[in-house]
Formats: sequence, C-alpha cells, structure tokens
Amino acid sequence: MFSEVVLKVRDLKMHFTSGRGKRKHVVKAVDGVDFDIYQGEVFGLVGESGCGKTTTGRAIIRLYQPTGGNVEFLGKPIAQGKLDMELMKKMQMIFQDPIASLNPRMTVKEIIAQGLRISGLKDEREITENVHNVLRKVGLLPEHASRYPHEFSGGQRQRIGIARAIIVKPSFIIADEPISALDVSIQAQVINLLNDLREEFGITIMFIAHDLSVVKYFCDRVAVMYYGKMVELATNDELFKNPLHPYTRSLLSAVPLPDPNYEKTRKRITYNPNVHNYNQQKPTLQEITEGHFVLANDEEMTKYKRSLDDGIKVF
Amino acid sequence: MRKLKLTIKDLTISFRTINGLVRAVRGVNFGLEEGETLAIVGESGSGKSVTAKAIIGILAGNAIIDQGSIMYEGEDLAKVSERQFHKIRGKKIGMIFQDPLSSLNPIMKIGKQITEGMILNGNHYQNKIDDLAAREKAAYYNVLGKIEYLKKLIKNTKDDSKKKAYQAEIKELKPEKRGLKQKYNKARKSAKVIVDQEWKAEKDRVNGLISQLKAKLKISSEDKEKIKKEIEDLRENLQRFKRVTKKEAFERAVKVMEEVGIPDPEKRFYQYPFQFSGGMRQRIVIAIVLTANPDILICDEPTTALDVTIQAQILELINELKRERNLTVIFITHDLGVVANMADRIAVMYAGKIVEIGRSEDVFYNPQHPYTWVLLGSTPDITSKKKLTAIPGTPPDMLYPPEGDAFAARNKYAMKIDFVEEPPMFKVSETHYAATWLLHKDAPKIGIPNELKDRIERMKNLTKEVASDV
Repeated sequence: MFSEVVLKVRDLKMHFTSGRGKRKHVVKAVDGVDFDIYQGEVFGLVGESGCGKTTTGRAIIRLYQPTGGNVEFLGKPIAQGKLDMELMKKMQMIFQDPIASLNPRMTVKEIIAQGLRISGLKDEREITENVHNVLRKVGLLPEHASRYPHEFSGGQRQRIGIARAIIVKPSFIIADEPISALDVSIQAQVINLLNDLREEFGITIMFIAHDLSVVKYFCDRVAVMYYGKMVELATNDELFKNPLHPYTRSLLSAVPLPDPNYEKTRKRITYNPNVHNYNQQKPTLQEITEGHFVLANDEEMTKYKRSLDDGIKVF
Repeated sequence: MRKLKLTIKDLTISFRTINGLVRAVRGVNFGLEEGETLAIVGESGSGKSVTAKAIIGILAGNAIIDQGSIMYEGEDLAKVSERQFHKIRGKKIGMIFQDPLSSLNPIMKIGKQITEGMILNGNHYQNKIDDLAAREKAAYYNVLGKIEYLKKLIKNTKDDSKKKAYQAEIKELKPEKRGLKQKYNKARKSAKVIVDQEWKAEKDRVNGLISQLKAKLKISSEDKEKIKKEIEDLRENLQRFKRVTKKEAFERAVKVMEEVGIPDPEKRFYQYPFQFSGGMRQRIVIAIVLTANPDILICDEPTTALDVTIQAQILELINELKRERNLTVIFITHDLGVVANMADRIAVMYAGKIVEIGRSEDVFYNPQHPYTWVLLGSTPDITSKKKLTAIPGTPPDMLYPPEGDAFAARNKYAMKIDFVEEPPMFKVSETHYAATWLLHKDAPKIGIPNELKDRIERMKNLTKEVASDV
C-alpha cells in the first residue's frame, strides 16, 4: 500500500528524572517503542492520558532530547547530536491548545511567517505573498494576516496553527490532539482541512489523539500505547475488527457512539494488567498477521493466533 | 407521565457588557420529570451552561433574568433571593463542573473539602428552630425577595415612570414586611423554647447515664477500658444530637468516598487534590455533591477533560448513583456519544433557544431540525470514511440576535421565511418537538438527508452485530 518509509523509530526511550541521590526518581514516559511511518499515510497514536503518546511526538521532533534509541527521518538519523535544520524544516508540529500555542502579542502574519524568517527568507514581499497563500489554503482570508489571535474563534485559531506548520512545506506533520479542545462542529472542519491538505500536498501525518472515533475516521494505521509501551499496531480496519491485546479491547469498548440503542447494548471491558503472566518470558512486539503487531510473549501469541483463526474472542 | 420536578417557562437571560446586551438565553421552555436524565447539547455559546447556572443560581454578576420562571417545589428560582438560595443550592440541587481541578481547593485536604458542607449545614439545633418557624420565615423572605427583585428592576430600567411604579410597589409592601418580621421573630422565640427543652431533656438523660457509669467505674476495676469507651460514646452521641461532629462527618465522608469508588478512603481522606488523578478528582467532586443528598444533579460537561476509559467509568458512576438515589439529572455536553449513553430526553440548543426536544430515540433516529442534522453529521463516524458535514460559518453574534430562525444563515435548507419570522415549536409526536419551518404544512418535504439516513441504518446494523456477539 505504502512504499517509502518517512520516519523510522527504533527503541525510542524518553525517561524523566527528578530528585537526586537516594530520592532520585525515574519516570519512564516512553520506554522503547518501534514503528515506521510510510509516505502519505496518517499514523494514529492513541492511549489514555499519561501513556506517553505526546512525549513520543515531542521526542521525535526533538522538543525533548531522547534518552535512548534511534529515529531516522527521510533516511537520516535525528535522535542524537546536532540538528540538521534544513532537514528538520520538513517536520512540523500542530499543538493541542490553539490558545496557548499562539503568541498573543504577535499578529497572525508574524506568527505564520516566523518559520520562513528562521529559515532565512528576507524578501518582505515574498513573505507576505506566502502568508496570504497559506491563509487561503487553510480557509482564512488574507485580511486576517494583520489581526491578533484573540480575535479568532477556536477553530480559526487552530487553522492558524496549521498554516504556521504548512508554510515551510513540510513532508511530515505531528498533530498532537489538534481537535480535542474544539467544539464538535468545528472538529469536523479541522479534520476535513487536514484531509484536504494531505491529498493536495501528500503530507504524512502522525495523529496523536485519545478520541477513538476520530482516529477510526481519519487514520490509516493505528498504534495503541499503554504506559510507555506500544501494545498493538495494525491497519485501521484490522485494529477495529480484530483487536487482540486486552488493553486495546478495553479502550475500544469504552467509546460511546451517537446511537442510543447501540449504547444500551454496549458492554465495557475493563483492563487488568495482571491477566498477563510474564514471569517466564518477557513480552515483545510481534507480528501476528501481515502488518498487525501485538505485544505478547510466545504463550500469548499462540492464544491470540488461535482466536484469530477461530474468530472467537479470548477474553 | 411522571411528576414534574422542575419547570422552566420562557426563560430569558442577557448579560450586560460594554458593547451592549448579549442575549444568551432567549426563551427556553422545558419540564424535567422526576428520575429522568435530560441532556442539553449544542455548540459553545449556545446558552446551555447559562441555563444550568440560572437553575442553580450562580449566574455572573452582570447577568439579568429578563423574564421567565424556573419553578421548583412551588418556588420560582428566577426570583428567589440569594439568602434563600443557600437553602436550595447544594442541598436540593447539586452541580458538577467541567474541570475537576479548578473546582477543588488545591491547598485544602480532600477530607476537609468533603466534610466542610456537612459541618456547616449540620447544626441540628439551629435547623430545628428554623424548621419550626419555617412557614413564618418563608412568608417573610418571600416579601423580602419581592422587594429585592423590584430593587433590581429599578436598577436595570431607564424608564422613569416605571421606576416610580416599582418604588410605589415597594412602599406598599413595607408595612406587610414589618408585620411578617415580627411574626417571624415570635415564632423563632417559641421554637427556641421547645428545642431548648428537648435538648435539656436529652442532656439530662445522657448525663444521668454517664454519672451512673462513672459510679460503676469507681467500684469495679475490671473492665475500666470498656466503661470509659462507653462514656465517650455517650458523650459523642450527645454532641451528635446537637450538631454534626467531626467524627460523624469523617464516617459519612468515608462512606460516600467508598460509594463513588475511591479506594482506601481512610488514607485518601488526608490527601491533597494534586495527589489524585483526573478521574479520581472528578469522583471527589461528585462525592462532595452527594454528601448533601440533592435530588437534582446538574452535570456541566463532567467528562470533557477526561479520556475515554476514565470517561466511561465516570458515566457509569453517575448512572449508578442516579438509579440508587433516584436522582434527576441535567446533563450538559457536546459529545453526542455521551448523550446517547446517558440521556432519556435530549434538548438541542442553538443561539439561546431550544430548537429540538424529544426522547433520545426521537432525536437520534428521527431528527427534524437542520441543525440537529448537521450536528449528527459532523461527528466522526466509526462505520464510514465519507467526508464529514462540517457546519459552515460561525454561530451568530448574540449582541445582535438575527431575525427569524437564528440558524438560517448556516442552513442550506433555509427558506425565505426563515430570515423573516421565527419558527414556532412544531409538534412531531407526543414527545417530540422541533422549531423549524420545514415542519409547516406548506413547506417542501425535504426529510432527513440521505447521508444521515444511511448512517442511522449502519448504526442499526452495528448494534445488531454487537448484540449477536454478546
């Protein structure tokens, strides 16, 4: 389906330490995740708050210095050492909170043009033209360039955030819960916009979210994280049809859908981490069918395989 | 039909701002039946939170209730004075807010926050006096409330003749007020005598028991500890007769914390809010609300700040409590999935008005208002990948409410009349009403958009699949 690998993440670790000496405390926010993101796809990363999905995104774009592991972007390592600014221009981020992520003292033009200026563009006329083009692209008007962020509604602010990300013509965007702070009707606008941009420019998107119905709608492949580990990775349809890991099942069973009769029949499954017996063998991320990975040890693997063959649910 | 708990009629609320009056709520009508859950849905700024805040009497200072009534147990909450509201707010009507962190005090232990209300309201001695003199008090405060309301009207009106009329009315009420005050004071005095007598009798009885035990203590030395404990218990009970003691509050708090699913409540009682996760904090907020035993619970987006699994837990908790305590719930949210899970009836609000109201099935399977259509169509669909129907444009500026149907400008089915005249509530069925001209007998028959029909059909199939799986 997809050929070229845009981003290759291997054993990425992000540990935070606090205190020193006896009181030293290490939080393993991300503890060894592996995945590839292919050209042109939308890769979803889901999990509950505190599972490390945002940290993963931030470590990839080097807002944090990863503790360990390798990240390859367009074939070049970017996790350690000095950053190649020309390369990193190709990777941009959209943040969750459109109010907090825009400087209230800068005009929209200044905010959007900042990326261009940093990358060395000096011609004022060219900058203005670029800004106007990108504003039109995200569904705003060129007149908006001279206004300040507070003059816009939530959805429009998020469009400004998107405009800022796409003006440097990135090939890869990390979208960190770009719609969870927005109203339903506006969520649809932003999702449609991201979809259009992706079709028009062939941008690859890593979409971090906790709303599974949005993920199901928008993403091609989905990875589920739980406490710093990736527990399952599969194509969208496969994951929603054949969830294998008990945590994925519990996550899927918790999604409320807009249909009262469905809601009456829905039964929530609770996840108990103690169902795994990892005394004898530690689990690893293993491929069970093509493109469907699950965190399991050998014993669980046979169990999952059987359930897939029979089409019977294990839990 | 069950008993109506709360009836809202023609409620209109505006806010005074520098730019003029913002008309936040423009004539909302609904009745709330005992034991049901009514969900209010709509975009931000549609007036759903303002309606809820009016019910519990916590509107911002610049808010004006222009007209309308909120009838609860024979009282009009729109006109009740702040002092009277203390008796209702929390005790009869409880509210849970969106952000659990900002509704808790960060530097106060959880236990204290849960027990605070109990102890403050737990002066049985005072309460009994109040109860005995309740009728006189209500009469007195009714007049007081009327005067306060008139004074507020005077402040808000610019018309001099109206001002004079209000002032005359106040003057007329004054002698009545004086008489009622005297009556009230008298009633209090006689009530105090009765309560004092009761208290004295109880005190004498318990003191007698204690002195007996003390005498016993002197003679026998065997089970000293036991007798001492008994004396202590008696003293505690005596205190409890008069007010809620700290010990009693602790016991009750631990019980409620257990009920809302906080593990290890005895230990958690002494912790601070930052030591709890988001879901646990929301549970504590619910526990605080429950200690007062309200019969109406207003939930203002209680799960928007939480993620899916935690959200599911909190919703289950609210549903469970509702069943156990026979609560009546008003649930405000913009998540239609949550609405489908919780609601018995749904009110869709737009630009300060209810545009559609009906039973959950009515609104989800047979929506009539174009706004409900787009609202349903704009939620991402788990069963398809078609483009979402985003609502074009933004909600109207409520400084200048549009003429006619407020949704007309964003509505692709809008007709000429929508820009001229406001549609009345058309009856779809006994339980289902919608305010759109499309339901008029002369209107073109448009019907539910096909995409939405498909989607309802798909959801039905999914439901069947899931049902057969279980």
